[in-house]
Amino acid sequence: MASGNITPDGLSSVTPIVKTKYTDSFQLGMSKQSTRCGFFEAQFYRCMEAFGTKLGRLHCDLEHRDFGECLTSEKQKKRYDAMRAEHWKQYMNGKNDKVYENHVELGQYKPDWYRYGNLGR
Amino acid sequence: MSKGPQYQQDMPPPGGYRKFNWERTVLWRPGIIIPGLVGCAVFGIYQAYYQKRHRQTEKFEDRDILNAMEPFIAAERDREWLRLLKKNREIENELMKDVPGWKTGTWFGEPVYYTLGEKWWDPAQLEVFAHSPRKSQMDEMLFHHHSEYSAPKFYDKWIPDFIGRYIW
Repeated sequence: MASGNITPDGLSSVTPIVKTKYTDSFQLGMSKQSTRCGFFEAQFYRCMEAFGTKLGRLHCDLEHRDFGECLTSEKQKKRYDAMRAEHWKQYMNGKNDKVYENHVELGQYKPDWYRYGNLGR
Repeated sequence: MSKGPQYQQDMPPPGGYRKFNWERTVLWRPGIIIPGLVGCAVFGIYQAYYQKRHRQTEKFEDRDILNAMEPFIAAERDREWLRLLKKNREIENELMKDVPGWKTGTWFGEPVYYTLGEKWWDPAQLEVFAHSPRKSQMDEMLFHHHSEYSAPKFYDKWIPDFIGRYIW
């Protein structure tokens, strides 16, 4: 349990309380390199490296938020929910004859699984 | 060997057996069967070799053609993807006209990614299907579970609609 001057890196690694010489051999590395969010992670850590921990916590907030957004897609989920609610509201008020416009054919969504080494996760 | 007890054994008749009368059968005799079998084997070996060569040639040709066409296919795929996203944005524009404070592509003015600037980042699977019913989302996720055959099967007419719209 560390306290004080820490990097807000969240779950990029989990370390035990007592470190022995075998800790690193069995460490679980949870870096997002070569995944979808590798870009944002690299951006955030470059910023932290440039500013240091204290100033980094102050100035790297946007990069940190983008990294979190890439990991959780939180804002995209909120947008999705808001738009779905609006669809239903308009349908209930009688504006359209069906709720959603189903224009995405099967197979058109092709995520680029080939670009990342980790199947794009 | 010393002379032991004498037994009576079943021996061939003196002078040997008589020859087998192949004239009884019209066709089935060694002079025809054996060349026939050998010929079939030779023909089979020849066919196997040339068929395998043909298959391998076709495989190589397909791979060559795909390699040559890869940029065009990638461009077509990307165009399709961009067309889809543009359609999504248009629907969103029209949908959220009356919602106060909404700007298309953002969350009430707050961009999804702050530090990208003018760069583009593909939306996640959820947002792509924001204007499509749940069935098409589930189809997209689950179509791997099905075989290549995707036309209606004989039992599809007996599945009621309230179940059928949620499955493949």
